[in-house]
This record gives sequence, structure tokens and C-alpha cells, in this order.
Amino acid sequence: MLSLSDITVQIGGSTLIHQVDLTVQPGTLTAVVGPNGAGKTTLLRVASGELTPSTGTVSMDDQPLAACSNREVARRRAVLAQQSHLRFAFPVLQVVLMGRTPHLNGAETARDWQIAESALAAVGLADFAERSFPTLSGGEQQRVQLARALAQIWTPPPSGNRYLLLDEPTASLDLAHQHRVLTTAAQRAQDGVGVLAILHDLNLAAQYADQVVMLRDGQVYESGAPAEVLTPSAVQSVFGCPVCVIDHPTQGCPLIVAERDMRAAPDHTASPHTFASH
Amino acid sequence: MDRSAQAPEAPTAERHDAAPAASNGQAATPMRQQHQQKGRRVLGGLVLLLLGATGASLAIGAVDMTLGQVLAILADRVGVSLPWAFERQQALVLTAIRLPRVLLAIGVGGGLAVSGAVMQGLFRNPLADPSLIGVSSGAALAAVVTIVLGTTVLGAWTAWLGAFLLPIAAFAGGVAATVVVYQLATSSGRTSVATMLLAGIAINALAGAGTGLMIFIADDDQLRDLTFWTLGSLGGATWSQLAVVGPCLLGGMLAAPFMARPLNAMLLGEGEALHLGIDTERVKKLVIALAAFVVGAAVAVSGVIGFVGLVVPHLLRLAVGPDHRVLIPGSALLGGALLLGADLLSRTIVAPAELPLGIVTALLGAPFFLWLLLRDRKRGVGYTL
Repeated sequence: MLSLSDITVQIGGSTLIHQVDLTVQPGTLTAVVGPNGAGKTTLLRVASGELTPSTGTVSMDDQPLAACSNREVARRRAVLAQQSHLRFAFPVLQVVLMGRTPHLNGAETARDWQIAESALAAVGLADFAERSFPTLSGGEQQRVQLARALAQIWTPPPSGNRYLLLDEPTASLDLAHQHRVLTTAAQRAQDGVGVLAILHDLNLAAQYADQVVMLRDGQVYESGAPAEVLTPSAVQSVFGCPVCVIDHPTQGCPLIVAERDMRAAPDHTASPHTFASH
Repeated sequence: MDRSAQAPEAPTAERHDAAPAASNGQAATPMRQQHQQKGRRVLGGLVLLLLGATGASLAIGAVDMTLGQVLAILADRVGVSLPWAFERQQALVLTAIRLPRVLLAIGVGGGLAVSGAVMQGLFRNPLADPSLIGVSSGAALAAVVTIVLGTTVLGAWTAWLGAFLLPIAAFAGGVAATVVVYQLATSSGRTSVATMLLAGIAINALAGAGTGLMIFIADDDQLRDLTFWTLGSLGGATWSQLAVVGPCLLGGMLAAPFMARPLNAMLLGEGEALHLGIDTERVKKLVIALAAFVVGAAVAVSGVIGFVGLVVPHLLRLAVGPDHRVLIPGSALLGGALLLGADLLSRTIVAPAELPLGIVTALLGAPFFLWLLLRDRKRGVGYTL
């Protein structure tokens, strides 16, 4: 279990995250949704250990993250960032192979190469192995980076669980690949990986997540099963956009459809924060 | 057909794993073999290039000798007699002058190129140069200040420190400038690579101004000495110099390959490297320390030699790709060979005079660099990495 308890992040006098509790159970997919600037990426950076929270603790399988070595954590937890910074002309397969870094003692073995190839095939880019990474399209680069994250946690560790943290994994992908990526993530969850994904598309969250955490202004507005969280009133109050929620005709999950807002854009800062009480 | 449907998942990997030779690498994928072979081929070629450049540099000069004579002289030193006759003067020139100079060229060239390779990796920018962290300009400033103001300020100490005063001052100046740049870029335990780059530019400008000021107030004799520091030369190479600086240069070159994998991961981005289990703050510290020591030592004995640290890793990256595991040893070899070639030109082209080495490397390096830029522009891609 990856658990964040009572997390507050203050940077330069402003509070980005305020007293957030969040748990990611192994074998489930948790989606974090919320408007721009709600603190989703900050929360993911805290969960990955990249950002130390001002208060609160993050623990992985009951061990505080701060007490574990970087490498130890990296053997069980992979992270996919929103953007790729790689500008150097590595062949695609070698980028995926870098996912094996925390497992290596010396050179990569044939097995590491096989895992890299399998991971690349899992994102549907097996034929791209020898292409130069910077020549790929944004979406293809994103999928290669996903393959790298998959290769990092390909097999179960000797002890503890695996976790996969995804920051908007579908951001630059077309419709088919959005679903393919989330199908892959959901498959990982079925294999016992705890998946935490930031998603912008509420319908993807509704369709693939076991648990949805809705953030607003750095606080958890609501969390629970998709159908409980993605209600018209919650979506409207968090996103400021009127929606209607209907049953998906085939998938048995909620389907969120935005309505055209005939009023002026609501002013968030002026309205008092009303938090749902449960 | 949908590829993901037939994509091998974890169980398939387990099956691969059962292959008998999986762990010792016999059952390698074609790409893996290609990758290793290419690296080996290029490194092998560079070893030959370095040997060739070494042979040429030892044989060619004011006192000419054949390769056979060179071998015979070297063999004679360890008590082995070879069938090539040589004169005493040739032996003296080779062992006292040419050999230390050649070894220093290999060390300085290799050290500068390796420093360039690791700096470019750290900054994720192929235009980075070891001088970016202020080490070269800091060392040059310290040397120039020592030449111009040394006797006035230090008085009797100058004589006591003797020939080592300048190299020590240069080394200390280079390391001090780097420490300043590093401190400026570090707050609450984290070093910002972008801030370091900007701080380096500012410190370089300051040190350049200081050097200019010293040149302005220097007298004629001092000006002649200053040229050595601002334009570089291997002309003063001696065995005692080599004994002091050699270990620094060699140590840096031997330590750098241990940074290869972390630097590869850093190319993905600092956050990504962190998530792959790399201690990024430690890597930054080590890379900066390595570059400061190696470049500081190089400048201390040979002045500021530009373009080697920039061009060598860049050129190699075009040939073998950005993998630091090949790039770093390759840079050491190619840097050594290139500086040997440049030094050979500098001491033969206007013989018996010597052209400052920095002029030769810039004359070779700058047009090459422009060619790279123009080539990329013609491709319509602007500057690519």
C-alpha cells in the first residue's frame, strides 16, 4: 500500500496541497482528477518522493519513503512524467532499457534486454526499437516513456508491492492510444501493481479507475468509487462547468457530458469553498 | 491487427527468462549485439588512432627520427636492445623533451574531452563546455594575477614556491571559481543546473574582465608570459610536471566511466533519473568536482586550450550516439589523439617557433563547429542534439 497521510505542501508562502490523505492499494487503479492548478502534479511528486512535503508522511508498504534508499524505492515504483526532456538521440529500445537501471549490478543482461523489448511491445511500438527517440512524435515518445516505466517494474519484487505513478499518461495521445494506455495500466493493476494516474478526461477515469480522488484547491473534495465521486453536483462545483451524468450505454460506468454554460464563467476565488460532508 | 492484443506481458518475460543462456548474455538480441559491437569497433579504432598520433608525435620534430629509432630508444631505457641505431642526441630529445610532452598532450586532451563529455551530459546540452563552470577562466585569472602582481604581493614567497607557484595558483583559481558557481546555484541542498549555467557565464565574464585588467597593466615581459595562459601551450612539459599533474588527469579519466550510467539516466531529465534510483545531487557534485579537478590541473600546466572539451564529445556523439558508456572512454582516446595532432601542428607549422596551442585548436575546432551548424540548418531541422 502506498499511503500519503496528512500531506501539506507549502512553497514560497502559498499552499499547494493542504492536509491530503490518499492511499493506493496494490491491485487497483486510482485516478486523480481536478481542474488545472488543483495540485494534482504536486501530489504525484510527493507520492514519488521527488518533493518532500512540508508536513505529513508518505509510506510504501508501511515503510516511510524518507527512510528508504532511492534505489530500493526505484526497484518497486516507476513514474511517468508529463513531459519528456530527452533530446539526445538514443535508440528507442535503449531508452526503455534505462528502466532497468535500478535493477542492474554491472551491465544489462540478456534478460534486461528481453524485458525492454516486451515492454516496448506492450505499448505497441515493437517496430520502433531502433528508431532515434527525438525523431518520434510526441505521442510516440510518451508511449516509449511508458514502456520504460513498465520495464522498471516488470516483475514482482522479492518483497513488497509494485507501484506505477502516471502523470497525465494520455495527454498527447489519440483516442485509440488513450484507451490502449489505460488498458495497459489496468492490466498492470490486475497483476497486483498499485496504479496512481492523473487524468484530465473524467470519462477515462470513470471507465478505468477503481477509485477516483477529486482535488480542488489542493484539497480532496471527494474520493471513492467513480460513480460516487463523479456526480453532476461535484463536477460542477469543482470544475465550474455544468455537466450531466448518464449511464454509459455499454460500459456500465458513468458517462459525463458537459453542457454549454450559458452564464458567465463563475468566479472561484470569490465563492466560499463548500466541501461536501459525508 | 491491434498490436497490444498480442503484446507479450509479464508471463512471457518469465518464459524468456527460462532460456539457458539468458544471464550470461549469449542469447542476446540482435540490437544488443549491434550496440556492443559498434561500441567496441569505435573504441578499437580510437585506440589505433591514438597510437598512430603518439608515434607521429614522437618521431616528428626539430630532431627527426624514425619510428624504429623511437622504439629502439624506448627499449634501450628498459635494457632491451633493438636493431635500429640511434644517436645520443635523439635519445635525449625523445626522453627529456618529446615523451613528457606527448604524455601530457594525451592526458590534457583526454582530460578536457572527458570533462566536456560529462558536463554536456550533466547540462543535458551538447553545447556545454568544461569552461562553463568557470574553471578555465578562474584558473587563467589566478595565473595572470600571479604573473603580474605575484612578486609585489607575495615577495619572498615567490622564490620559495618557484616553478610550482603558477600551476598551484592556476589550479586553486580554477577550483575556487567552480566552488563559487556551484554555491550560487545551490540552495537548500539542491543544485539547479540552469542557474549553474547562468552563474558560470557571469563568473566567466568577471574573470575575463579581471584577466583583461591584468593584461592592461602588465609590462612587456609579463605579456609574453601571459600568452601562455590565455592561449595555451604544452611547450613547458617536464617529467616533474607530469608527475604532479598526471595522476590528477588520469584519476579523472578513470573515475569518469563510473558516472556513465547515472549520466545516461540524467539525460532523461533530473526527475526521471531520481525515479530510476539515481542520487542526482550526488552525481551533480561528483561531475562538477571531477571537471574542476581535471580542467584545473590541465590549465595549470598547459594554459587555456579551448574547443577540445566541446568538439570531441560532440563529434563522437555523432558517430556512436549519446551513450556515456562509450562516449566517455571514446572522448578520452579521441581527445588525446586530437590534442597530439594539434600540438604537432603547433610546433612544426612555424618551426622553430611555436604557435600557441589554443590558436590551433580554435582554428580546427571553430570551422568544424560552424560546419555542423550549417549542415543541420540545411536539413531544415535547426540545431539538433
